[in-house]
Amino acid sequence: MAETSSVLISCHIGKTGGTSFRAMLTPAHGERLVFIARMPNAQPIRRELFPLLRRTYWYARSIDSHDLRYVPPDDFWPAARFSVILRDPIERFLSGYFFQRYHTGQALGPMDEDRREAWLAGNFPPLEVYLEEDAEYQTRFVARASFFQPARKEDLADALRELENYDYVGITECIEKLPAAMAADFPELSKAAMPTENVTPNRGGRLWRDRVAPKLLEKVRARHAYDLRLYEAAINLNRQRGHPVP
Amino acid sequence: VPQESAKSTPTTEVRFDGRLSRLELVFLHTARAGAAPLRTYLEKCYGAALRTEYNSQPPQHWFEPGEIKYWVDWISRMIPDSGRAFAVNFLLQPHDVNYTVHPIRFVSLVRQPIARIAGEFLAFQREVEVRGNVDAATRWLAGDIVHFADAMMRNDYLVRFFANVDVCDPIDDAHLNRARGALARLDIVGCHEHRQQFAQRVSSLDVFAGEEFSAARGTFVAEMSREFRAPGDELAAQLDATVRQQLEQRNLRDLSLYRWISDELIHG
Repeated sequence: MAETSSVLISCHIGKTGGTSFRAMLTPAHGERLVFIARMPNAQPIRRELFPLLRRTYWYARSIDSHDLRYVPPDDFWPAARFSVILRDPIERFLSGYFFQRYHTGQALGPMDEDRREAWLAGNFPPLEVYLEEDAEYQTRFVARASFFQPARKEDLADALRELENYDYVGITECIEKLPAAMAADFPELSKAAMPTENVTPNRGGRLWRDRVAPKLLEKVRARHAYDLRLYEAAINLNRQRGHPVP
Repeated sequence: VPQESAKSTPTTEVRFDGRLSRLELVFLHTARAGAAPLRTYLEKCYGAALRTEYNSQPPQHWFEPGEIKYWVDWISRMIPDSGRAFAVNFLLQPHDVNYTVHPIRFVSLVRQPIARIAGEFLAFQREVEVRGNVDAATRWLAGDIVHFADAMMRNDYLVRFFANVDVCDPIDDAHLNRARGALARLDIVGCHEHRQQFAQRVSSLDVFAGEEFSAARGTFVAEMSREFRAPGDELAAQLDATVRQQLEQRNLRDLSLYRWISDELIHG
């Protein structure tokens, strides 16, 4: 592969539509789409290991992973372009919680739905517990901060600074416009359609925030102050760049 | 797709307690050690209750405190009817798991370091051949085993694996000692060069004692007892003396660890 050929490094935050984004890339890039999978909430792949990405996946046109973050391309692959997708933090958090809860329930196997629900109610952690570990996830992700420590003010500052390094900042709420915005570097995506994949089952298709008690919702909102600022910054950045906003 | 398991657990036994109390076997899968028959054996014995977690390249050996424990907890939350056995390509240790009903048996298989690198090199060459359309840098990597081992950070892999040191970080003798310590705590360490002995020891573990495993045990031991010389072994045996010396120089600690494994854990 020529050094000048662009490669898309998709830094994939869970429950932001990244799996749909990858599904969009699949027909365009075929075997040149690489998915790097690691254990959930693994630390990001270290900067020193990025040259191995170039050497191991020399053939790639796109690489998608939960474990990638921005690294200056000159350090490893001059033609690399970085993307990240951010989502309304409240919707992302609730979608993530109900996603895990749903799949845990499914893993119990065939059973009566009332019994399944009773099992989940007695065994699956309540939303407040999940909030303790997942709050401010997008800030910690973009800042390269630990997923095992609460987010700090410095992490928000790091995330705001890092965000500007990404060539493409997708917004889940208008993700269908993202492929066309990438067409200058990746012309094969100019007319690519965005499928819907790995979506949390949500009967009625309402917003997640409309399905949670107001008091609980307020708690969730209060624990995502940094993520909300980051999300706002992403929209402003896209406005300045002329990239899609909701 | 969930498979039928010889060790299936009725759903009524499923409990969420934030840990994997039913876990009984962990297989630490070092790269290119020839462990495919063991994977098949574990799949037969455990079916859907075998959980595999193989981190993609580039390899990760160092973990933030709590990182593996989080993964263990995540599995117990997401897949409640799973987790009686793990196959992982990183060092999972007892303290990552919390309490279990039965003692966990830890098993690993290693391979002579130069033959292991040769195996990795041949696999890379095959991939280059299949994918084609390579640039000069990749062609050079695929044409020189010493350069491959350096550029792909494949040297002293075993020490890094068992001492939790990433491939981009330096190692010293303290890491060699740490790796020995980690290996000494495992229940069974086998080597690719003595596959039959490894299979016999694994199949005689208490977790496979039941009559329901006798067919799987027999197949596994028979498969591992077959005369087998992997292409990497052939390449390693045919290496030019200078090239071999260069590789040995770069893998002194792995060679030392391998000798120690052979003397102390296999023939000791």
